[in-house]
Amino acid sequence: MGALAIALEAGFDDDHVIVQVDDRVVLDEDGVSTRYQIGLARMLEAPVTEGSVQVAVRLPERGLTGATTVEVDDTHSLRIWIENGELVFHASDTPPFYA
Amino acid sequence: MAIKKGARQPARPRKRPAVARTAPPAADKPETTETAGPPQASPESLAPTVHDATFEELVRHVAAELPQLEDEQALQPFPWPRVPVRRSGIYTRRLGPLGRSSLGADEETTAANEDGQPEDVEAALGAAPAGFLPARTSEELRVDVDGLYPTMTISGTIYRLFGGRLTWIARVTKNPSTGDYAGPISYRDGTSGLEPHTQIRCKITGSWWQPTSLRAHVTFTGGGVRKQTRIYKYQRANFRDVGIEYDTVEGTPSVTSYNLHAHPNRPADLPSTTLSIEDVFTRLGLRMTNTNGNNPIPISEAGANARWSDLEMHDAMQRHWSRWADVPQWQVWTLFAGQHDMGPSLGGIMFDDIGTAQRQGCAVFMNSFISNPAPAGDPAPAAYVQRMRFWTAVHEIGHTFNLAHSWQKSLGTPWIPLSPEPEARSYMNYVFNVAGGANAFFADFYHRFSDEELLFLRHAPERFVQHGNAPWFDHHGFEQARASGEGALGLELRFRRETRMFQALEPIVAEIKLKNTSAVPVVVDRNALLSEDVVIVIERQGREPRQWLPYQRYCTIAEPHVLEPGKSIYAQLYLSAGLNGFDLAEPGRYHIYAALRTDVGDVLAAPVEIRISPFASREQEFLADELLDEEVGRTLAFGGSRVLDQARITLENVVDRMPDSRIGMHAAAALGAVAAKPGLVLEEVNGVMRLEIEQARPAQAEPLLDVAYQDLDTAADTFGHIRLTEQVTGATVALAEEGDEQYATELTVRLADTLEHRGVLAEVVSDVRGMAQTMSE
Repeated sequence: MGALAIALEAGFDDDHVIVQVDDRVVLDEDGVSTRYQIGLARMLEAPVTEGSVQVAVRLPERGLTGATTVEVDDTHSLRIWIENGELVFHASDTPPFYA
Repeated sequence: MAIKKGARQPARPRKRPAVARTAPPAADKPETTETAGPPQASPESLAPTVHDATFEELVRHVAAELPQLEDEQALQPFPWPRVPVRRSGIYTRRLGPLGRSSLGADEETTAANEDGQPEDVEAALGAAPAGFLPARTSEELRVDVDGLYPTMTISGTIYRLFGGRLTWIARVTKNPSTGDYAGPISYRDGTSGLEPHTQIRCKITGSWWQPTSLRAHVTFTGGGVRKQTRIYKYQRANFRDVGIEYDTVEGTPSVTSYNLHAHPNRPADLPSTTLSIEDVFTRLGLRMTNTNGNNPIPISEAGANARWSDLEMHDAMQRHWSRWADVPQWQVWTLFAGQHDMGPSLGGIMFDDIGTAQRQGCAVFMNSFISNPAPAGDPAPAAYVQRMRFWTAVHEIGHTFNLAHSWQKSLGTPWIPLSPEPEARSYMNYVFNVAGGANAFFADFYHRFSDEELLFLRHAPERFVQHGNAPWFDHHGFEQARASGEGALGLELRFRRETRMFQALEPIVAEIKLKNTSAVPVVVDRNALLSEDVVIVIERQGREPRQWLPYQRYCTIAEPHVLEPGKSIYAQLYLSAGLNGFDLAEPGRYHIYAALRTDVGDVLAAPVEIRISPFASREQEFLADELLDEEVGRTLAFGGSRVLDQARITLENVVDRMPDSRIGMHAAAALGAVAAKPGLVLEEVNGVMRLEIEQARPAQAEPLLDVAYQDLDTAADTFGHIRLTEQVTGATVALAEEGDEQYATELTVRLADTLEHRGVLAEVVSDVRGMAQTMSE
């Protein structure tokens, strides 16, 4: 059992955000906003097992949905942001840094 | 020095006459370090601060790396921007109510005639709103055409009492044949009518080695209005003046400087010098001064988890920052701490996006990723870490100036249209996000901000940049000045008497009242009414208006005071005399205008009309010649003098000849106040100057106080309630200490009765009664 760091970054503005890892809801929260001085809205760690997991994000009030498949063995973190009205996913084998 | 929240602050020099000497300005300090001397890479340049005890090991590692680096740098050219001639900086120009410039008459005449055309300065500045004739205008011109990283910009801010303010910006190019700088005005913020022209041309004259001789001659054209040339006088090289304080959590290192050659991965022409955080900003035109502090902060303040939340840091800022105030000010607080609640992924944060006055504090987390070891094989691993920490500190401080990340420039509502700069070699970019990562970033990083960021820092309207002013990221600083106080304050100039008809020669004492007229508490500076932000203009009917310039101003630090709804602060103003002479002396009709300049605009009082009666006798006319004398004016304004002998003689003469007149009461009060209490006088004794104690003279004081205060109701009319209370209690407390408790108590009780009868605030009456009670015991 490992952990996947999920970072909700730019583009969130007082949004209701639901994050699921496979079928498990790991975040269901209102009022999610990006703090632009660190470029981050939320950081969470989701327990994951080996293999691949699907990460899905929904912003129901904006009608935004998106999902990606992450290979847990190669991935340490998943950065997610909103750009041009779409959810963007970026998996990385290093932890995300903010300042 | 740490100031505990709620604790009484140590004594500070709150009151300082305008003539008091002050320490030499820090501007005397050389501005640039980059052009100085030989290479300076040395272990000393990385010396730990007092809080760096645990950092010594890192310093030793860096020191070990330096010798080979010095060999390398000795071969490097030294083309770091050398700027032998720098004329950029702040220039100013002021016009009083008469339209007189702060420059000499000759200089102004030259400007007016430069093109052989008559030019109306005031007309070009735009008309004042109807109903307000007096106009006091000051202008600041920011010339940014040379020096380090010039943005080729000239901008200005026009402040006009009763007329608003305007910031304009022109991007300019240099005409190589004339040396002039010219360009269109492309940005305006504020009352546009204050500067209707659309083009500027600027010529700088004077010698750069003699800055006081520098003048900026700016010709304004276009906009369908008459061409105009205005001359501005050089003031200083820096565009902003900022104080910074570093506090460190116990057991945590701090990094406030970095030797630019400590790591070999850098631009080849980067100079060999050590930059402090203050240097980074100062050399870019924002003079930054360490205001000390250096307070160790207990880790217990981070709570049981020993990691910091934003709220805990905000509390620590209020508790430990010696400059803490919930008001806009050019001050920033930086905390070096271990780790944020978010964990090691957060290297630093501008945490102060809470409450009203935001962007005053930031933090750097030393136990975060910024202290991760350098990649394997790095030639200077200790310097790698120190550079990362230094970058983080400057980055967070950059946020306090309302600078966004480089790739976020178009988000929110930028102050001018901006494009993201994801590859910028700026302190505001993430070093690890550029193409090629941190190594690529630092290989081409000159320890600076981008041109657009410099434009913002140097030229944007002050409220967008200043700490504690516009909220974080709100227009990265544009448009929304903090609304606190705007429209919530009312200013009143008043006289506590039924009629505004004054006797000839009667000193005129007004009271000024600042009231919170809103439904919510408003934070104001407790000393606002004693500061230069209060502007009074006196206009005699048929004459040009003149500004009242008091003999003294109080120089105070901002002292935040929560003004609850309906509550007020007050001050008294002795308007009869001042540095401008006696503007309320001649019989006639006058209008008096008052304004308080605040950060969100001028708060205006309703104009007050008063009349001064004609002389009642030839004796009064005769006395006028003696009374309208500067020494007498100062003595009456200050409520007495021990050294101005001629004034004392004059006032004694007035008391003898006109004891029942209002001027007689003022004269007696001033003489009685001095006689009632002991004081120090500088005297020459046997050729040596020394302070001598002049003893109190109660027997002389009491008859004079009788003249002044026998009829306290009339005294309240002419002195006003504030001045009367200060004067009477000042004298009676002294007399009680001299042993005449009965006289002191009786007069103080009569004062309390009078104030109560006249409807003065109950707490003031209660205070006076309490004093009387104390005297009688």
